[in-house]
Amino acid sequence: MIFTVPKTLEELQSALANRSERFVFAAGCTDILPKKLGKPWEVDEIIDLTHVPQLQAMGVGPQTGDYFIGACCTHAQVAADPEVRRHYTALAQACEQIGSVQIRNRGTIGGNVANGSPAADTLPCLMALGAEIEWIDGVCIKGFWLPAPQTPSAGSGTVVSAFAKLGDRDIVTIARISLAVRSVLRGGRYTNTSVVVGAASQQPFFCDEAAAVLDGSQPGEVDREAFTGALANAIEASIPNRPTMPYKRSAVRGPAFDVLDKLASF
Amino acid sequence: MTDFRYVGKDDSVFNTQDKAAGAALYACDLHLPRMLQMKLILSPVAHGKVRSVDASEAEKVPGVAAILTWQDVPQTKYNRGRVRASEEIPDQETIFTDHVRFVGDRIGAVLAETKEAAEEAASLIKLDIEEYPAYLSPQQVLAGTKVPIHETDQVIVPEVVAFGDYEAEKGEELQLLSSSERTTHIAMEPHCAVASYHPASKSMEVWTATQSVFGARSAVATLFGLDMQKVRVYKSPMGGSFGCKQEMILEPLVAAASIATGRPVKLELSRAEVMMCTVLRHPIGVLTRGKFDEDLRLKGVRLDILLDAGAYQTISPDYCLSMAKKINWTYDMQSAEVHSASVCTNTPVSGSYRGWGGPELCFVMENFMNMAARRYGVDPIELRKKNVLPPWSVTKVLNFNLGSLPFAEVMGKGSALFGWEEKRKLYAEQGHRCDKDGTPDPNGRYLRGVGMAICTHTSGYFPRRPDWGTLSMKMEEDGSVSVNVNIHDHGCGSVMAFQKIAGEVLCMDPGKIAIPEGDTLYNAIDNGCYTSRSVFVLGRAVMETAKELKEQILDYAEKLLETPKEELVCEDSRVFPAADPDKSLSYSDIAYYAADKAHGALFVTHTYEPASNVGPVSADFAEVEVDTYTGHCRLTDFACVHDIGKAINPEVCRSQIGSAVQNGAGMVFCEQIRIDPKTGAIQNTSMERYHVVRAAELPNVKVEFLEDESADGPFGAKSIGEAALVPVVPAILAALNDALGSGFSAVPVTPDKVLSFLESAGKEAAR
Repeated sequence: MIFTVPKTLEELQSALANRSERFVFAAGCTDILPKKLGKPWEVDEIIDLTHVPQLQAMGVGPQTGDYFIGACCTHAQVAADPEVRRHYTALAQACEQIGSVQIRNRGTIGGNVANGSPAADTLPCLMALGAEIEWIDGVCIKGFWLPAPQTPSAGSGTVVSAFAKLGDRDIVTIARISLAVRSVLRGGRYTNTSVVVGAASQQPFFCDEAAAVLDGSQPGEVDREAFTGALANAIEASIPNRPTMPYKRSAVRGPAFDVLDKLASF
Repeated sequence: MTDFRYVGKDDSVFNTQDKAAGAALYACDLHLPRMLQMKLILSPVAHGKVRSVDASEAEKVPGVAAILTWQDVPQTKYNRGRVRASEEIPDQETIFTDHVRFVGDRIGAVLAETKEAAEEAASLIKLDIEEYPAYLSPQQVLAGTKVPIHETDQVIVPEVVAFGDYEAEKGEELQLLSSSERTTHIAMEPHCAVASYHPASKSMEVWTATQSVFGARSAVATLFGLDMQKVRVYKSPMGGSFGCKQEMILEPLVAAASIATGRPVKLELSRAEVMMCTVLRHPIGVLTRGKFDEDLRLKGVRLDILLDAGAYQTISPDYCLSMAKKINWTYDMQSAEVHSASVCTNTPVSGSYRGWGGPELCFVMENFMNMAARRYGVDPIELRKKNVLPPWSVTKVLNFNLGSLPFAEVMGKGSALFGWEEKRKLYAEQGHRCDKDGTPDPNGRYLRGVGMAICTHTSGYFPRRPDWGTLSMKMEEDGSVSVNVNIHDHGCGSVMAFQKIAGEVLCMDPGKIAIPEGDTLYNAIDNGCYTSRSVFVLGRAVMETAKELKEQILDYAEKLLETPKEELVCEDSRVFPAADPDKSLSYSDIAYYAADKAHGALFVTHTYEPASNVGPVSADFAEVEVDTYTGHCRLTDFACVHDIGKAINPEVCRSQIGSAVQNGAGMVFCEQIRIDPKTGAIQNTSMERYHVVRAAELPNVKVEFLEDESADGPFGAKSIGEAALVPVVPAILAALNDALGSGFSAVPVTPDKVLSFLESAGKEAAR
């Protein structure tokens, strides 16, 4: 087996161009190691992504003001980043709840997305925040671009966001339902709201009905029952025949109230 | 209380540093020359007949040395729970089988040079199995089996344990059905055993993390027709058991493979295999009926116990009896009847679990008492005060004295430690609704409630079967001491406890006392580490033996110091006259004198036979918070008082209780091995899917020990390891029921059940 360790973007591009047919990326390894433990890897090459500086970068882009988060930034780094905490709060909140301290110190945001778990905590946040992926040669995530906080659509408003999840326990837990909400506070009311439901079904999805409940509402006066009801209906529609549906439909009330509390705390 | 030098002081267990550094060596770390790795071939179906095993592809894997099936090993039926060969218990299991009885039953094994090769080859085995109807519950079996799981002993109805005449008792009869699901033990160290057969001498060596080296020796010797003295079993360091390593599960398998191949063999199970094919805690259903008189005195109870034994009976019938015989250890009643049935099903094997029926019976009885307290509107403590046995009661089953039984003290101290009355008053006056930090709030999202439970447990086999501890102890020339005792430390510190006991008696640093663990070649036969007997029986034997060794030391000192031994004092491995401390001899001086001048060894053997079995009493108090939006429950407060007699190593005893609270909270809130109702396979064979309560989710567990030093254990000690778990589950469940106003008596109470209850209760209230 070949273990390739590119140190620059160019080396990574070269490695991708010459990659073996059966290869795997390695970054934090918090998903792949448990999966492969004691089993044959069945790959010919491991490409280590953790030594390429551009994949570990975080910062404002030169022209648009969009914010870049490199794929190999760890959850702990993302959660601690002042800009993310201020402008992309939902993502910071998600990253500080992922797994355990050890997982957060090793696991990367790119890995969380690329692993493709329906329960990935960062996915609904990235979707709600309108993130875009920057690819390298179409196979490797370089990083994520989050829209600048002051966008034309935000106008003079303030972008607020929040994340909440429900697992089988309060900590070190895999989400059964996760919720990410992004909205623009303008004139004391929520506008342009996005609500994404994660983990409940195979893929995260936008819930426009729940977003509509928030739009036009003041933070302290959201119709919480209507918001919860919209989410419950969406979950039921997404997994109508799953045995877990009745529980998830009912229990979404917990993260729904939590996410509204967090959103209102701005 | 006596002030001891070592006993009663906090110390880390002897190999903590090695464990923390990853330097501790377990059976899985053992590598012998020419050793083969074993991988089991397990049944993918719940019930069937293996028509053929196609190993042609598997044999091509480089490094494969042998592929064994039932045709290559003895087909002798045995019982993995048999500790002594003379025990009369049903034999149903074989090393490998073509009649597979659960998903995970053993059809054969691959032996290969490497673990990877063994695993790859096992994955290439093609099985042709004729499937039989699978019976996944006792009810299905009792309704009739078209294809029997076993020709005999499929259902065993143990003797009815009874006294008085329950049916004739007057009073209102209350009924409650309590049930619990199968759980796994989650010992951090998965099962592993190594065997090395020596054909020339027809002898066998086995290294295994077992609770009974003699049990493993007997199983291997009888199965393979070997002389017992030629089967040497070493107890390897153990990373936890909780009962899962007390039956002879792996030892016969590695022994068979070593005989078949003529090479040493190691079998190390994965976590999934531990869950599938070792042993799980019994799923159990118990209908409790009881009658109270007008003064709320419990007149009698009748229990109908239905135990799901899994695919083989193993120890299950005895488990029923273990529950039944404890029926009169806590409550004073005129009559009791315990009926039970142990039923084989096409599910993983059920068996030994921490407490061996004690926690199960306590769960049933305390659920019943808590239900009665709710029904009659009385404080659960007051109901118990009316009904507990008085001190020094003689149990009506087995007729032995249970000891000081300080129920009133443990409940009183526990109530104060927990704040029972204050909390109950708070909830009575302000309701159970609260916010996240527990502040009462009529519109709060959370509910809190409190509950309690009490128990008595055991400290040994007496008088159910003969019990004893035989050991030897010697002093080396440098004054250090070696003890030859059949000890099996689970990782919970019994070696350290024994060192402290011997050190206290001998007035020497416990660190200079070596106590190697179980080895059948040198140890005297012993009953093994069962029924919480280690400290009470073997610990006392260590104490008595140390006293004899000390006498030998003093005999020599008397002569050398020309002082009557009554006037001699021992301290820090030295002996001196009380009146003249400067005129002292070290133990080493005496040991050298004995060897050089007196032609004697400082060596004693001793047998201690317990004549009592005190019941350690405890009271547990719990507070539970329920999130009414998600159904999540968490333990927010826990306090307990244990009548431990004397805590030899208090910190370790508190740790036992901490682990028991974690263990019990898991059973109430989440732990459950889920069986696929269609296939019989376990659905959650990983820790990702099998949920436990994490240490970080637990409150600070408040512990108080009641130490009257009156028991026959060493320095008055009673048992703690199993006793710690016994009342935890019913106490937490009672708190959950108090919070919700519910009557759950089946665990686990998962979030979906909580939400269903709240929805039903809401609909009920809306009517």
